[in-house]
Amino acid sequence: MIQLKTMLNCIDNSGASIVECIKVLGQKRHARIGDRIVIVVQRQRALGLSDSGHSNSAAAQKVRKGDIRHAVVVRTKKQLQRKDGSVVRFDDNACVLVNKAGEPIGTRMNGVVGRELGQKKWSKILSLAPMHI
Amino acid sequence: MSLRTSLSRFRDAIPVGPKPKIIQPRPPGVLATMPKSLDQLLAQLGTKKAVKEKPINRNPLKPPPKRIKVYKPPCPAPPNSVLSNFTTTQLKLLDPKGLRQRLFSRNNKDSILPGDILQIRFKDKNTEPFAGVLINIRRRGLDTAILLRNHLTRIGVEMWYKLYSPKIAGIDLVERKERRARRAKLYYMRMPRHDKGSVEGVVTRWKKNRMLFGGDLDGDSGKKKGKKVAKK
Repeated sequence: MIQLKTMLNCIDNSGASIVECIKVLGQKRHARIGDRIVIVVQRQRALGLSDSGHSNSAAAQKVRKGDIRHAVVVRTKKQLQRKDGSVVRFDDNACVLVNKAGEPIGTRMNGVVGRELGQKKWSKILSLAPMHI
Repeated sequence: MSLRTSLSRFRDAIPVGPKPKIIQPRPPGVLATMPKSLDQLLAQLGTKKAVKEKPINRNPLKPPPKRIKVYKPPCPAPPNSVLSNFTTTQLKLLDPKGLRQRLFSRNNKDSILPGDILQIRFKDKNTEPFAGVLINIRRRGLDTAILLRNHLTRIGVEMWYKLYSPKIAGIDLVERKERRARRAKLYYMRMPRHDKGSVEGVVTRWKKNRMLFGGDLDGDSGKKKGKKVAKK
């Protein structure tokens, strides 16, 4: 249930670490996994402390604090029911930054994502993720 | 009031059943020489047929008590409720051997309890098995579900699975909790203080041990093995 003012973790190497939702795109009350939102970068990753070893500083500088970008929700704390009756719930809310065309800004992702991304035409993000559940 | 009338009334008051004991208080108006048993009484009456009499209105000021007629039900009642019938038939389809029912049965002494580490395998080979700590069992007949918690890539993930889902190939008991959990719902495990973290190490160790004993991880024999562990 991502809505206005929700703080999310950004799990790609675009340079943002914590972002704030400022708009849920589409006629929706709340965003779920696979939904597109507009965010503002609240905290950016430290340059030297990038978790991925080979990511250069240029990749870490793609976005800066205060930037307004589009993002896709990949994990929600609110449980999400699937058609087979199983329910998935993560411990945090997380997103991945994308550009206006819908391509991911970062090149790497760390962390598990929901499988619903594939159904909602975000298979590129799904393939970048190290794990999906 | 004649003797015959009062005696017949007395006979009506005797409860029907094998060897009835006469313990009723003596009704007023009955003679001092009381019959000792039912047979004696019937002999006094001279007939075994009960004589139907109108209720005697002892108090003329009060109207006689109303007799309520009891009718038989117009149609026989259904043998069981429709829902329970549906549940049993569906369970026979989804869990023909009753293995999963047994695994989580309250009557089974060795049943799976909250706090145990389970692994769920799926019939779809593309879906990876999900392992985690069992933190809740939701017992709702056909909709019985279990909640597993694990850490994937250092992120806590919780999954509800329907126990009788046809997508599930098998449920393995990886590790038991050493001591029985003192709660039915282990939601406190969400707190960082009590979080058990990833169970991946436990599962890989368990898989290695199974490989040593020549267990087949994905086939049907693996399922049997898992059940054996559960029975232990």
